[in-house]
Amino acid sequence: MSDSENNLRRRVRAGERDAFAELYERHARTVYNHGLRLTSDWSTAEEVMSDTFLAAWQARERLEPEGDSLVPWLLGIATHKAGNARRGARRRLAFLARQPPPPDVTDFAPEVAGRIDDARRLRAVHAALSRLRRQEREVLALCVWSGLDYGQTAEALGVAVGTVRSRLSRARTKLARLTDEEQANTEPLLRRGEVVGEAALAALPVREDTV
Amino acid sequence: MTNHHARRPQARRTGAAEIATLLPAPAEWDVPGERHLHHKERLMRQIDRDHSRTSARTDSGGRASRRLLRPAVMAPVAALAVGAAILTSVTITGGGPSTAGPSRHPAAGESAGTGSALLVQVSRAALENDEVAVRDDQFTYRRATVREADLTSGKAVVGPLRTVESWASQKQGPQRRLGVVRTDGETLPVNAELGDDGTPPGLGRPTYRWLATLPADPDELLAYLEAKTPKTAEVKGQGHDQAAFEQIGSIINQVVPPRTAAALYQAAARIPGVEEAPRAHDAIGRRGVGIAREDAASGTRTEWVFDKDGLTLLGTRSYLVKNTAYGKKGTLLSSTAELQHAVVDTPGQAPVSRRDS
Repeated sequence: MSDSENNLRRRVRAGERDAFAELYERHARTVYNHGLRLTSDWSTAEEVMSDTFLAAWQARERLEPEGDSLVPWLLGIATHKAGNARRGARRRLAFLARQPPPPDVTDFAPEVAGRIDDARRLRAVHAALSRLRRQEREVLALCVWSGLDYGQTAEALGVAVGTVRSRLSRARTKLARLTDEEQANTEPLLRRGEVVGEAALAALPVREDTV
Repeated sequence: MTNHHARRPQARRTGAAEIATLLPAPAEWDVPGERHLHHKERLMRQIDRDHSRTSARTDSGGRASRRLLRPAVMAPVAALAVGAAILTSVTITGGGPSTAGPSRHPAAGESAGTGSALLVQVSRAALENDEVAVRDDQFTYRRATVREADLTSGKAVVGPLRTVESWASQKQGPQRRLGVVRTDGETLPVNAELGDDGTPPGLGRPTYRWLATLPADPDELLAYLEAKTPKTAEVKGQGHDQAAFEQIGSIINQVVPPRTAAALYQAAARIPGVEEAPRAHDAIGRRGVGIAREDAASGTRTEWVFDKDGLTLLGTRSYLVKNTAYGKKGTLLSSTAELQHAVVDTPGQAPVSRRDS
């Protein structure tokens, strides 16, 4: 895999059409999910994904010649795109995405119940993330959920590894505090629609009916 | 989905691992199959477009591959991306209020090409239409039947006849959401193509308000359009004229202020090589009076068809007039038939009546 990624990197830099087709097939899903975690909006995530690959095509010559996985590069672009999309979409999102997941997913009958839970959880995660600063959120999404290591996260964001560490540490502290707060209050202090953790997740169906 | 949001921050671990215990890991989602393909095609099309542009530049003969790619921009999938660019005009198809002027038939034979006399008449007819009040929070609506060739594979593959409805945002300033396109029962957003801050009103997103700011003087207007038309499109002198002609063609099927529409037709009349095309017809076979321009470099011909009486735009057609790498002489590249144009409040909403302004 890493060998072929390296080869793919070379071909991507050279602007080979097939290399981009392969790049897309290999990593579109990863980029989409990253966008989804950062924006919590299916259609915005789709835009982020699409724009990311177009931007990658345009920036191909600036790709580092040496390196392993292309994922950090793509997620770096995607993070940037998601940041922009977020700015533009903030009003539209009205804090939590309310639109249903795309039909392809919901139509998958045996999984529907599970998927609804997943969708709810995604919103909960997004709610928690929204308490963090953008930079902390990005590090968290890359490092924790997309599985990049510190070095790769630093590469994606174009910052030093130390910066990744400190942002992650701040994120951790805040999240721990939020979780503590939530435990300390039977009626959470969280703003309307913002929920963290299991108790709040359980309360969500009711909440959704009233929103 | 695993269930690992531990609630005990006391058990401090470091970095990512601990955060994973604080927050539920979101599930992985698949990109819906059809959307996955859609975006892949968008990527591939952009790559092809850029490749052909580069080769047109390096190829000193300038084989005008870019010219041929213009219809590709309108090919099915990409049509969604440029949906805003296929909006049409109340002023044009609205069929002006009983404007049965005298002698609408072309009196051919003026200096600038046989088409200029007809275009002058079309221009006058356009001017007789009423201004439309379009608010910034509204959408211009267009319904058209189109048939287009997909050039992605390197060969023109002519697609089916389909009806496309589109709604273009009239908001000022750069927008990421440019509108909505509905075709084959599917409604999709039209998003800004590239760039982070969205698409501002302009040639790529000609809002009614923006169109009204274009020069009313045809010479100035033509100069402006030529300046804005990419220089890479220029192939052996003629290419640039054709590019300007097509640029105008891409605007006149929008909702255009009468004065601007009139100036556009006058500007087109000044482009060398524009001629009358008596046999022109649109995507659904409607005939009328035609205007055409042939581009020798790319071997393509583009025709505009106007209603014989009202001189409103019926549609357009573009096809190969010689054998090229994309296909044989006669191969259709794109055709349209304008059906309805209006201004509505909400994207996705069909106009109440044909026209109520």
